[in-house]
Amino acid sequence: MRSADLRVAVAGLVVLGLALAALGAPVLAPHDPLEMSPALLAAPSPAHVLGTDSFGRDTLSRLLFGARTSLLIAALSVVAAAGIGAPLGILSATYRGAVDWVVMRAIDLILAFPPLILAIAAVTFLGTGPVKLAVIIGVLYLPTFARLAYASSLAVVQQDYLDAARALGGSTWRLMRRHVLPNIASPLIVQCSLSLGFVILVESGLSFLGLGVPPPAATWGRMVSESRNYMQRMPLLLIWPSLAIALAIGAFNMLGDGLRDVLDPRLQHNWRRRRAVGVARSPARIPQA
Amino acid sequence: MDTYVIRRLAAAAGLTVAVVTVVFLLLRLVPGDVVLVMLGENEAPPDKVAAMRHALGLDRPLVVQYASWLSGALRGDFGRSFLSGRPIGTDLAARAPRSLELTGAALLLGVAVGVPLGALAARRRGSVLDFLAGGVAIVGITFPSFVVGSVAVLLFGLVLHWFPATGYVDFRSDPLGHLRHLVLPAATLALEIVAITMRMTRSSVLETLSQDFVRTAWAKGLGTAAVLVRHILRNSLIPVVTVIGLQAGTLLGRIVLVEYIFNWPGLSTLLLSGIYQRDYPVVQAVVLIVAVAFVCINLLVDLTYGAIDPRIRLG
Repeated sequence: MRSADLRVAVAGLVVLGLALAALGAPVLAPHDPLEMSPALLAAPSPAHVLGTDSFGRDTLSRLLFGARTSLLIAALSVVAAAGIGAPLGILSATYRGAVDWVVMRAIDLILAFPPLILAIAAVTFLGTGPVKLAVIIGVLYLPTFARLAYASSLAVVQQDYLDAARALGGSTWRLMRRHVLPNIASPLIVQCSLSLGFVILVESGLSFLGLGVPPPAATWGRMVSESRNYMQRMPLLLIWPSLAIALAIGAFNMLGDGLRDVLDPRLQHNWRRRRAVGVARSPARIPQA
Repeated sequence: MDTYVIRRLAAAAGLTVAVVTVVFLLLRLVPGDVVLVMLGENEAPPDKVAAMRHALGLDRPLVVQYASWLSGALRGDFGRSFLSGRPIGTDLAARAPRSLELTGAALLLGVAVGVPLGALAARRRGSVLDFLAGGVAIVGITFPSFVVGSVAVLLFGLVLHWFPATGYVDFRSDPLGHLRHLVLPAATLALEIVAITMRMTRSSVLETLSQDFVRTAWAKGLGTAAVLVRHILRNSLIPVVTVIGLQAGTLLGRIVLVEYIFNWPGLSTLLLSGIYQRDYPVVQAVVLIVAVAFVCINLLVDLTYGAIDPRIRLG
């Protein structure tokens, strides 16, 4: 097993675990995340495995429901970023000229603001809520996808097979969907994974400042922020959500890095052919790729 | 001035105009009546509402509002804070140097630790030092600043009492106390810079180590320090400079979290109190200052990069 494969496998397992925790939170959580028990700031015990917060709410349940909020917003944001950004990039690579100019200037404008500042300003003036938050964060990361899609489709658009497809009467829409998109999919998938890490960083930061999904919903960022008043008495309250955030960010980054190595276009041809003839999936790694 | 510099300057000027326009429009994007939102009550007395609308200039045509806002901003006049009644420009002028100091200290610390650490890790690849440096990089990248800051407050401030946990002391009244208050926030901000410059320096130095001119330098009998500093580092630092420039955006965002945690009275705490109290003109002014500063930083990075590496200018 190559180290990239191993990294993808480990990170993939962690991501899968987080996703299961998020989806299964209502079943897995031992308590209602908003239920206040009389045991305030309790240490871990059989009743509350990770202890309780200053309102007597069960920390484990809040962590699980926090995973639900964070991962939902992260997934929606990346879908928004890739769903708007990638088509814009492909469009401007296909049409060039005025379309290209307008798209690139719009992207420059988004990039003219430091990301977190733009998010804070947008949330302040436009209001918050899960969907709005996801769209705002999505717009923040749209430039990366647009530029990536632009750069990769530029190479595809100049290929002979695209001329051939056009000569056979394929519409521009069909060309983009059937020929350009599949050929630029790998870098976009890698970027999705890396972006999930960034998005969780921004979402939890906003939440920490009280500008994320409004209370009483449990979010990791707010859990860190709420723990700060009691951290001297109950440092565990700070530790759990911090670890959850770091675990999620680390796993998405590692998955993205690993996928980039696995999906490296220079290896892909080799890899496909070997699979097709049934040889074990272990392409010789190009030295220092 | 060659065409590269002129092109960059023109692009930055255009971008600044666009940024100013977007920030101006922000206040007009608030869903519902912004005056009612700011007053925070549904049945505010009509005369109060009208007075507020007039104070914000919202009773005039949009073009007139834009012109007066723009001319005010150019003169550093952002109107008065709706809550404190003080001119916003005065608060900005008092707080901007503190944010600048924190950013500068973090950059300096980050580069001063990151570059040598990266060079040493590359030189002794696979050693314990390399392994430890890799660990620092992973922590710096996966743990968000607000987590690092909170843990730093708890560990070094409240438990070990090495440094004051939060707060700010004026340099003129107590220079030593001022520096002691600076340590934790600056170190928190610097951790990610250390991680990123370290990784970049390491991989860049590793690449340079295998170059022919390095072998020549060794062969002609130069000492380790001379080869490392004069031949290897000098040729490895261009990507490091770029990566530091790219960090500017996240740094300006992360400083908001760090100032908030450590109660550092800079621009970000002004921004946040403006947000929490719905004092929108203050928010607008800070966002504008930070965004324009960011455009200027990017311009400087581009120009520096063009000066270091002539190939960029032809691109």
